This record gives sequence, C-alpha cells and structure tokens, in this order.
Amino acid sequence: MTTRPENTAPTRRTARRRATLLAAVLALGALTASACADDQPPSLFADGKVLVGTKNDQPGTAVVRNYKFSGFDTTVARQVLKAVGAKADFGIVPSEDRRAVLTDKTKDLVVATYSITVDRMKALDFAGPYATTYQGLMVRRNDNRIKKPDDVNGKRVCTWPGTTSATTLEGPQYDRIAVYEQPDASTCINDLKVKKTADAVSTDQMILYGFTQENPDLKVVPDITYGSANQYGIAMAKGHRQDCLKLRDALREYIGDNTWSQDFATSLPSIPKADATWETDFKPRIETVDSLSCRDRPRT
Amino acid sequence: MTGPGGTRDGAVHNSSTAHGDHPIAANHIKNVIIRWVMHPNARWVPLLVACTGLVIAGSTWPDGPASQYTLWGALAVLSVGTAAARMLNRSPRGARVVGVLSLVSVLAAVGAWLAFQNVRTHGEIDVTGQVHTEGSQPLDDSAHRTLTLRLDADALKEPRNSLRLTLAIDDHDPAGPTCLPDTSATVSLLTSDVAAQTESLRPGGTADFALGARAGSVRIDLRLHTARGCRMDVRATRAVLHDG
Repeated sequence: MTTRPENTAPTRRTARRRATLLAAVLALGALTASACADDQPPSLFADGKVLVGTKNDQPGTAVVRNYKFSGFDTTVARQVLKAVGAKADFGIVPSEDRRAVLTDKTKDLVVATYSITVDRMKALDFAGPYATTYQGLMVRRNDNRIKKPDDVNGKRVCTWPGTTSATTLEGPQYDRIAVYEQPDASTCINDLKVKKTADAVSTDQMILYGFTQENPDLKVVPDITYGSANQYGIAMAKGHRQDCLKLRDALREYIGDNTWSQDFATSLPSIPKADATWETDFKPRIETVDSLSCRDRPRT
Repeated sequence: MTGPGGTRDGAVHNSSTAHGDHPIAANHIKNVIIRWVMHPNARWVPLLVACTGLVIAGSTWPDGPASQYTLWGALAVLSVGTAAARMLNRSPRGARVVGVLSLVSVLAAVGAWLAFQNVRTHGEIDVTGQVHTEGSQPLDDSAHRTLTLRLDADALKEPRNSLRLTLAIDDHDPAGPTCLPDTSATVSLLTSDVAAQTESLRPGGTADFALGARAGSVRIDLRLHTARGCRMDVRATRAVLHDG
C-alpha cells in the first residue's frame, strides 16, 4: 500500500486544468486553420472537369463543327489540362463576355484568343502567352489595291467590339483609316466577301490566317501590321493562383518541346505556308511566359 | 537615506580618497557640475536645450527621405524625454537619478545635433519634382527619338556627388497588348566636367550616376528599346541626390 502525498489533489486539479486549456487552444487552432482553409477556393481541377470558354466562329483558332470544338485554342486547352489531370468541357463565349464569364464563375477558364494586357491582369489571372501575333489586315484575294500601310488610308476597315484590335485602330496615327465596327467576325467577313461594303477586315493575323483557310477568296496582307504583338493567355478569375501556376508550368513544358509546333501547324497550316519564320513570329518565349503568368502586373 | 556619495539634503559631494593634483582638480570640477545640476533653478535647462535644438532643426529642415532622420529622431526623443523626466523628478532622494537624467539629456541633445548636421551635409535630397523632361512621348524603339531628363542648378544647390534615378516605363495604352517584358532603356549621363556614364534599365529600375565634386546641371539622355509596334511612356518616379 502506498501513501498519497498531501498535495496530490491540487496537482491533479492543476494538471486537469492545464489539459483542458491545452485542448481549448488546440480546438481553437484547428477551427482557425479550417476557417483559413475554407478561404482558399477549391481547385478548378478538383473534379477532373474544367469549364472552358472559347470561340465558335474562328476557324484555325476555335470553331465548332458537328458539335465538336477544334482549333489551336482548344488544342492548347486540352494539352495543358491533360498535364494537370483534367479535361476540358468547352462552351461558347463571345469576345465581349470573356471577362464576365470568369468573374461570375460561369466558366473556369477562357481560352479564346484573349490578349494579355496590363488592365486585364488587374482583374484576371493569365497563364501565358501560348501564342503571339500582330494585328494585321485581310482583303479579297483579287484586290491588289492594298499592299503597304499607306494604301489603307481612306479604305473601309471592319473590326468587332471587345477586342484589342478595335482599340488599336482608334489611335490618332490611324485617323485616316475609315474604321467601322460590326457585332462579330462573321458579319465583318460577310461585309468584305459578299456585300463588299468593307475593303478590309482587321484583327490578329493568327485569326485572319484561320479565316483564309475556310475562305480561299480572302488573303492576309503580309507587310501590314498594327500596334504591338498580342500575347494570348489562358484566363481565369483571381483567387486560383496555385491552379494558375500549374497551368503555367504545363504551358512551359508544352512550348518547350516540339508538340506546340506540331499542334500549331495542324490547326493553322496556312501560316507555315505563308510565313517562313512562323515559329519565331508566333511561338512565345519561355521568359515571356514567366513575365506574364499568374501576376497582377507584368514582371519586368 | 541617501545613495552613495549623497547627503541627507540631496546634495552630492565627492568623497574622494584619491591623492595628487589631477584627481583633486577633477573631483573639484565634478563637484561643481553636480552642484550646478542639482540646483533647483537648473531643472529646466536640459529641456530648454532639447527644445531649442528641436526648434532650430525644424527651421532648417533639409527634407529628403525620412529614414535618414532615424538616429536624429531617436536621440531627440531621448533628450526631450530625459529632460522632462528630470524636471518632474522633485524627490530629494533622487540626486543620482537627476544627475544621470540631466547628463543623458544634454549628451543626447548634442548627439542629435551632430546627427542632424550630418544629414544636412551628407544626407539624401529628394529632387524628383525638379526633374524636367524634354522630348515627345510616347516613345518607341526608333533610335532618333530620345528623351532628355534635366536637373538645373537650383536642384543642385546642395552639393552631393551622386544621383540615384528610378524610372517608370509603362505601356502607353494599358488596354492594349503589353510590351513591358520586352522593354528596357539606356540612360546616359551627359554632363560637363563629369565622365559620360551609361546604364541599362528595366521598367522600374534604378540607375546611380557619379556627379563629381560640383555639377552645375545634369543632363541624362534616354533611349528606349522595345518590340516592334510598342509605344511606351517614361517618367522619373524618384530622383535622389546623395553622397555615394
């Protein structure tokens, strides 16, 4: 038989109090941690299916044929999502709605010839660029009036809203060009090809070359470009930085090997035919991907 | 009860056990200082010294970044704080404390004064608002279009031997495609009596130019390097003269 020391009861009470206090602290810590964890939105790739907004009227970059999406934008989306263990579920998004579908969470990603700009980087995250292109000019194949930049003065040039192409031609240096807007690309092409109310259509060369693949009676004027190079990025709402970085890494790998060139030439065969230096002109540099991906402003 | 060296009336006298002329003279001076410090009418002197220093500093404030005034600020606070504490301490038993507070206050005031003079002579001077830009913007990649940044004699009246210049380079149209990753600038210091210096800067970067002993004016030429079709705006976001 052992004798109980006089101070055993208070010691046990103190130990019990300490244990209770420790448990309370741990519970509070766990609650805080789970609350913080809840602040992080779930990964866009969590269920393996990602809602991707893209175009349906741009042959070569994104088009719908027999209910199937094809073109370079959709190929890029499939390739990078495959690398992160997810699949694309494509839906159509007009140019002017690209930001809205991301901010209202209707789509997870937009891969729709969407140029990375400083203003857009404030509202959205981009993984990119996955392609680089200058804005150019498309005319009727049998129209030889426009060969150099000055030839465009006084001509009617059609663009459509929600793109950087429309804003570039608003600059004072292009005052002598009669720029007008139509609701979408199809209407501009109809004005040029059928109605002949437009002398030219202007948007990114990559898109224009895609149009010529389905409209052999149209051509891209090679020596006319406007503004600076557009950098196409994969856009997403802010708050998914980890997902964005995963896409950036997948994109770096994709651009770094030969797959990018194969996919580009498959989707846009008119470009390698017309441009001997197409890889230099349209393939982005890895450093540019690092500078523009998943940031609130470009890294300089 | 009094502390070591103290008496019941609060006065402090040195109870020297040293021998020889020098220790005796030193003790005599020490006793005079202690008597003076403990004099009831001397209570406000350290505070007066500290406040006078503050008023003079405020009236001759040379501007520049706040960080360079850290030492001055710390010593000024210490000086005023100890002076105020010395004034408020009326305890007849705190003779040693009063002595220490007075001494610390005066020494801190002297230190603050020296620190302030050092900033006035060698501290940084912000001249951002005095950088004049010549040349039309936006800039592109063409070699014949350059921008000139100037600092005239008025901005250089305080002699400093270096100029630190930070430049912001932005897309002229932030709603258009961005050119920032492919943009840099070459800045060249072209000032008489100073060797020409050239530095390459990325957007937001900083160049440091040696101005020599006494530059009357400063001229910096800027040439932009960017991709085809890019149009950029350039402005000096910070220009600081300093002794490098």
